[in-house]
Amino acid sequence: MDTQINRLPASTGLYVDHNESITFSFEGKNYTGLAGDTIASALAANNVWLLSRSFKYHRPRGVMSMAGLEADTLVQLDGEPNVAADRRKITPNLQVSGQNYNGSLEKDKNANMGAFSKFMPVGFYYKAFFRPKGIWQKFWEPVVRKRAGLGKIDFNSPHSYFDKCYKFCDVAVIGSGPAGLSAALIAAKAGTEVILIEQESLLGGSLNYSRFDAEGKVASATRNELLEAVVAQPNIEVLTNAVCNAWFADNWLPIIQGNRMYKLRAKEMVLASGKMEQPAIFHNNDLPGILLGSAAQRLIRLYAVRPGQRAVILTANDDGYATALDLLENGVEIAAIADLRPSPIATPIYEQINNNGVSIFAGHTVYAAAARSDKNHIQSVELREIIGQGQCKNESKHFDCDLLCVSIGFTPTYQLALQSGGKISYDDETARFSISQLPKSFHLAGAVNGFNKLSSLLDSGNQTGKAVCDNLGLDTKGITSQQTMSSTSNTYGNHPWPIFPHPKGKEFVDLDEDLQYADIVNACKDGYSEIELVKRYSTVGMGPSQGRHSALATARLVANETQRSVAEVGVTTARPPFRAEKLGVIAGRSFEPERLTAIHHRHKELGAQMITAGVWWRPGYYGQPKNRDQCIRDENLVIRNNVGLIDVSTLGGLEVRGPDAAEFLNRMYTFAYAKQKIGMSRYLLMTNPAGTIIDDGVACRFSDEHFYVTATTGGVDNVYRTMLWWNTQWRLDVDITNVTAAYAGINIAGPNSREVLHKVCNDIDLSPEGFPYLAVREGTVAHIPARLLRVGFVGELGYEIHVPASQGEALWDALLEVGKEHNIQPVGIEAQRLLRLEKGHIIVSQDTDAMTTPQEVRMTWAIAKKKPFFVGGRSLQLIDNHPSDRKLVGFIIEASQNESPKESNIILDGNNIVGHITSVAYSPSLNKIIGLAFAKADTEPGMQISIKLSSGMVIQAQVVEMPFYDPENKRQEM
Amino acid sequence: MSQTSPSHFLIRSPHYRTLLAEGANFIEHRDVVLVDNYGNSAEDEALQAQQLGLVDLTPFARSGYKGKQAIHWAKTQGLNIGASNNQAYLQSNGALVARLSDTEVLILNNIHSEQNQCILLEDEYAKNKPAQCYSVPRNNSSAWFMITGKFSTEMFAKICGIDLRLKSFPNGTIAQTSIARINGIIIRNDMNNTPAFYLIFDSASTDYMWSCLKDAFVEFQGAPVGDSALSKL
Repeated sequence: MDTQINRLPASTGLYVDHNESITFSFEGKNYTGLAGDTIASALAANNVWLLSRSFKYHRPRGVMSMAGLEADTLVQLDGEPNVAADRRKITPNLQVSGQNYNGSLEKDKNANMGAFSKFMPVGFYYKAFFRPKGIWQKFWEPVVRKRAGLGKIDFNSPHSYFDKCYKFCDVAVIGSGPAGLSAALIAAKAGTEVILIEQESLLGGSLNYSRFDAEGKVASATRNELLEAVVAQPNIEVLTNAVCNAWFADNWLPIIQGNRMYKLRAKEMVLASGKMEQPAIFHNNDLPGILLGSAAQRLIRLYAVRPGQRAVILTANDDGYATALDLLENGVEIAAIADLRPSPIATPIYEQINNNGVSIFAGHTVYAAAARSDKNHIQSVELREIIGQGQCKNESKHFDCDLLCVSIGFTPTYQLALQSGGKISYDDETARFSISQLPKSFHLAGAVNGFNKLSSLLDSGNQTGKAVCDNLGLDTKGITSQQTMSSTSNTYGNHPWPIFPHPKGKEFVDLDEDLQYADIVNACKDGYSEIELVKRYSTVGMGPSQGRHSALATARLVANETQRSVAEVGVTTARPPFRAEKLGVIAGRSFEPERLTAIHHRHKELGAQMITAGVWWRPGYYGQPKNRDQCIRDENLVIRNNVGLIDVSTLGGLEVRGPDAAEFLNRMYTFAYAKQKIGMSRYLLMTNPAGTIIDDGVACRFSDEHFYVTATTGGVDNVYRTMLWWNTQWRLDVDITNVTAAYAGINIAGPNSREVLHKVCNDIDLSPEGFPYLAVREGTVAHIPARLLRVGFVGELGYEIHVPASQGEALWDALLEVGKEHNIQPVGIEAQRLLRLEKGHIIVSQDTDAMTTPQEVRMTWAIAKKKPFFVGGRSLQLIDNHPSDRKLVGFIIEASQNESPKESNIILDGNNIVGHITSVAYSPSLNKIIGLAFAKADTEPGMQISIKLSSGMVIQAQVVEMPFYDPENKRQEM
Repeated sequence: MSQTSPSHFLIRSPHYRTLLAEGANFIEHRDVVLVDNYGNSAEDEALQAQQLGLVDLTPFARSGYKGKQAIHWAKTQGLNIGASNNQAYLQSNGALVARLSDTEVLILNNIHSEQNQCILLEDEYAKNKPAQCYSVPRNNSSAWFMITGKFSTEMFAKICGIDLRLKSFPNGTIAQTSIARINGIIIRNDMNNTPAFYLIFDSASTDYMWSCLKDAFVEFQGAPVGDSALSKL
């Protein structure tokens, strides 16, 4: 096990606990880190810098920003690919490996891919893969697919728990650096509820790792003071390790924290997201050991890791000198500082470095970096004097080093601001960005708004906090703001052209995509002059880092090549998400509503196999799955020959009440209801305005002004919604109430049903004369108030008993008890479907589709043509003049067939498809296979139809009159 | 009162098996059977309720009326109903009248009152059949839960998009909204100093809602509590 040779003393390292060691493995080798370490920092402490191989050329890559901004730190964990090594904390026994290599990470067999870069210029795929014809499918696609993608998905990895949560606040502050903290404090002191969102594990932002003064004291002092104030402020809620991943209208913010997405709605939004340090572009600028200056500071201050032994600094601002001071104080030798500026400003930090005797080369750049013999780490740099934009003298100075820190400028972390509609501008003279045209409730604070001095950052936060309060109508007079401390250095500095092409190339503009200087230049030469087109042609900015380190350089190159300013060229659109987000986070915890009838648990106790019907669970049949067909046949015969119970609670129930109730039904349904007798039911068929069947049921009239209307299980919600929609226009004096859940329903059916029912129903005359077919009654069953409907869906004597849902189970128990002597049995939905098929009854949406009219299913008998109006009536009149070319017919096949037809098998007329089977089953009562199918409109009983089976075989079926069973309907009317 | 089993009664809570599985001890209380406790003392369950508690009030009476004259009729029955919709109005007998719209009210009986406001109204309604006023069978169409405690708003935030923070959603406020993807009514009705929310929703979804709430409760160590705890709040 390696020792942590780069670990700094316990006095450093805000994030790590020097008292707790953690062992993990990388590439199969065990390492020790500290609690709080990221994978990258722990490896760096062990002097391991090579993390992965690049996407195209398999170049060695390591950490650059220590802020999770680049693709080069993506590593593979057990069951999870593409994990940012500079953000994921180590845990005991964590197993980590690199990605995108062939062989070993250190000796990648594909490491020579870069030698072929001349043959893979930008856009080569557009020019190469389509000729000769067919070569894409035969050759290129397999090659590309094999090499595409990073990491490996483990399809056996266990599911994790993800969820979402709503949040609300007055003010959301994104970023907890000096500006964010001071803005949050001002707003909270004024009485607002503030949520402070920080992507790191500790508040403080740049105060945690940056150096704002020569002495190196002001940052920690300011941080401590601000954090104490935040802790003492009850109006501030802090979310750490949380990323605001997008901005949506009216400050709707998805905040991702671990496996949870908060959906935060904020009245006011403060973006204090800071800035992103930018790399310089020179030969081999991608070697491991080349860090942004802020990354070196993060390693030191956050993780107690010395980033190297001997460093060279490339800078164009005070931050590079501050980095140099940090390195010196932590035992790193500074070999040289190359300052792109011809005349560095003599700030206190600069002076302190200068006084230390460090060699400073003004007006110089790192022209090239060279790798060690194993090619996996920087070994030296070549400095040259700058003589023009991107041009250098030929004379070189060479410095050995194992660390190069680059501090040549920044871009604001502008993504959320631009998503809110903000416009970004670039000043070509100062090389700085600015953002404008933000929504009124969207505010910028701190470095994202161009500020860099600590005093400016604090002032910016204070002012923003007050602006937020002004918007909310709150008085901030008398609120004391954070004292702005003296910070005597840090002049904001962006060098306008930190780009130095090299004859041998490998000066990378976009490390994600292995795009070099020449690639962007050539894209422009190919005619792509607009930044968005250059992006799509070259793929610059399309990798995991989404252009965070390449957008500015690309804009500069495109501007240069097209003789425009960077301001004119602009940057590419910043779309959500800000960071890569897991699909699990987007999905969250899945809510899948399900409804249970009052008798649900009794079904399960009786061994029912439950099936879904929309959101309801219903008993399919009672028995073992291996006996499914036999169970259904037995249950069918129970109803035909004896008595059974079917739970019909899921049937839709609607109360239609009021003086206009009958008129309302007359308009909603095809049949006529105005003269329907009280105490009787009548079939309902509903069509939409196009005349298409959308539901059916029965209307039970209990008084002049009261109908109890049933609807299909899956259709009732739509029926209810449709009724409300229509009556909003008609304004009839009627009330519609959906009472589906309020009633449990049991259909007691079979020739012995009357006898069983009679035992528990004494206040209703159950005789055929007293309670005839299609009549409805109110009374009690087993002491439970009930509505009874004599309907004939299954074609036998039967009663649907509707009772309050809370008493449904008690009714079921009572009926089973009194039916024992008749051997009453529960009957499932599968048998019910078969029973109704034997009677030729359709099921809307199974035997109909989105175009089916009453004419096609032989239900014109259910249309009252003398009515002045019903929904769909006019369409049906028109359809009468243009008859359909199909209709639903019943067919039979002898049961001895080797292969039975299935629903959706097609009906052929010669080679033409003329329809399909909608329902088919073996009928034990008839000992035949029976079914319904759409066939040609001129198909009549006695004719044959051709069915193409699933096997492809075509068989003949005989078309017959319906119903198949008890054609005279005597059994249901007995 | 005596300890008993729900299956001995004609009227049964739709998810009494779930409550039994939670360790519920039932008692007969007037004409209903309800959960007295979950094996803990009333004091302990009251402490739980102050943190995060889930109470099944489904056995208690509730009723509803809708129609153009529904609110007028309810007022003529002596109910105090204000002019604002989505606001619940406390009655002198402890019943809560939720004005859901200009044409609909929901009446929630005082769970510890001797007087059954709902029965009184139902009797009067059946006797007079007021015009343009229609009863809604809330006792059977809707389940009734109560979520109590200081973590209740945070818990709700996991399953409901409404801002239920105590300062944003004062006592008596009503939200007719979606909870865990089903329709429901949330009414804030604090139990003395303990924040409390009634949740009225589809009775056929009782088991589903219970499981969603229990899942959301885990983070806050929430637990079901019995009726006996409520008198200790």
